[in-house]
Amino acid sequence: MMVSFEGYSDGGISLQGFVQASISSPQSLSTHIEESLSCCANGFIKINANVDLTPKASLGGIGFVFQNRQVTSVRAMSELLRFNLAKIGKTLAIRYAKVYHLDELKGLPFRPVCSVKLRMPHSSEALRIVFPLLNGTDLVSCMLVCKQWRDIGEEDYFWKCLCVKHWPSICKSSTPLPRSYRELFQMFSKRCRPRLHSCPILSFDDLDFYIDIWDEEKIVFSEVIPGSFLQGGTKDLPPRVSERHKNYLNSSHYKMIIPVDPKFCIFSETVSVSILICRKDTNKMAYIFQKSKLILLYEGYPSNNLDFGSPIEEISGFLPWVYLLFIVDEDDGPVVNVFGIGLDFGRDAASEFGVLSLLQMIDWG
Amino acid sequence: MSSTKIFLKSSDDKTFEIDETAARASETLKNIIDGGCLDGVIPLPNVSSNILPKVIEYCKKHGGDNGSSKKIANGGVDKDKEILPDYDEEEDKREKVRVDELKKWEEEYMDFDQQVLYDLMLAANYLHIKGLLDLTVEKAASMIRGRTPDQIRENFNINSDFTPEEEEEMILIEDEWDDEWAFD
Repeated sequence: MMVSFEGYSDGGISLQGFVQASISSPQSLSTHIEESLSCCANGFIKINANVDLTPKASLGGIGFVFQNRQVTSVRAMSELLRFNLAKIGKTLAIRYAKVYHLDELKGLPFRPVCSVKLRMPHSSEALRIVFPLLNGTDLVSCMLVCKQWRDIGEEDYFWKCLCVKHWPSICKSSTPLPRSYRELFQMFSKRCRPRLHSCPILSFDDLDFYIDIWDEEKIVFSEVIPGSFLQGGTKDLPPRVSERHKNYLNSSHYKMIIPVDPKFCIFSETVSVSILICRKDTNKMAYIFQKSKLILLYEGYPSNNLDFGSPIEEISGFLPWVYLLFIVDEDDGPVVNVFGIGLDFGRDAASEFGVLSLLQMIDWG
Repeated sequence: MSSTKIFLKSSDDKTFEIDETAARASETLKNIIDGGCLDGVIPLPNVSSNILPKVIEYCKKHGGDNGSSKKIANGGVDKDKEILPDYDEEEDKREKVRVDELKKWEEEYMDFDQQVLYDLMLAANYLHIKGLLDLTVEKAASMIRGRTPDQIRENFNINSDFTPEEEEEMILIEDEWDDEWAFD
């Protein structure tokens, strides 16, 4: 009987080389497992095992050996793996899938095995290593090369890699996303056109905001903020906040402020932001910022008159802003400490209702 | 330096010899050696005798190497150097010569057809030789980046196996992406 299952590990974990399948069953099985393991540096693993099972037996467990030094917790690793057991003839239960760190192997009865045979055509595995390095356009070109390349390109893992590059917070959502990563990426790769949709009236409770902020290329903030939380906002300001911030916060138009705790620091002048919004009532997603630069205005730096805001972004004809609230710490040279993020839909959306009406109109894919 | 010999057996049962120091360029071999799992010959059923000498050649060049290949990845410039107080110009020059020499060696080393490229990439992946994996993956990616499906087929010597109907559908997808691409 052929058992075949596959798993993905989430992002950037390097799985390498060894698989050890162990059979532990009440019956002593005349069992022969010949694993066929193929795995890539990007974390995709696929295992085919030939198992000679007697009718009542079950596969006791499958162990994986990881060589990645960064993986310190075995438990954390096993949580990253999800298995789908393909049914072949009858259902086989996998009781556990344990992940071993190499250090743990010492003292275990089995050794790292080299009796691993690749059964997939070589090129498929090679492509799985190369594809995560490509951008969306190149990946689509690859899918048009031949059937084998197309089938591999359809694996959502590569699209997840691309999505995570653009919106790191996307994998922090506790609820599953409404669409596959491929659909999401392809949807957002199309330029937004102003389009009116008739859909239910929005409420903040229906919205999740995926917010990512980069200081140059370094990600400094990456969270999923529920709409209701954004709506509540913050009123408490640190004592040393600048006049400019006070003026902004006291201005009459409607804005949403999220407190940032712990604070993050900004060192460069190139700060960019991405915001995706997911509406849970219709399971649709849209973006309002895609790595947009926040403009840094200064008056006599390092005084407190810095100003981070992102004006120039026009989506469906309205102007949202992202505004960073910060204090400048002079103790170890001037350091910009961000304690809040403001989201502002401009003067056309001067109330909660105005903001929701605008959000209603953007291109929900 | 230890000059213990390690024996590796390819998938087609040919045995090759490699110095332990060179073998340590491979994380997989290093772990087998350190884990005390070494009894005589290490079988490598994923690596054929065509590819194994090529892998060994790379390991010999990079065994005991600590960092020159990393500098190549950074474009040959070590940024940290500039802020070091005891910055040694002579040493820097010698380092540059070493890096240039290694670059040239890598260029010659990487001159082979794409079937070798696949096999070498998989061997590097299996044996966990990061430098070699990066080198091969980057070469494959550079044969894809910015190219049309036709050019990719030519580079990898692939024939399209799509039906005429599928072809037509493909052209539509391709056009859409050309027109509408908003990222990257």
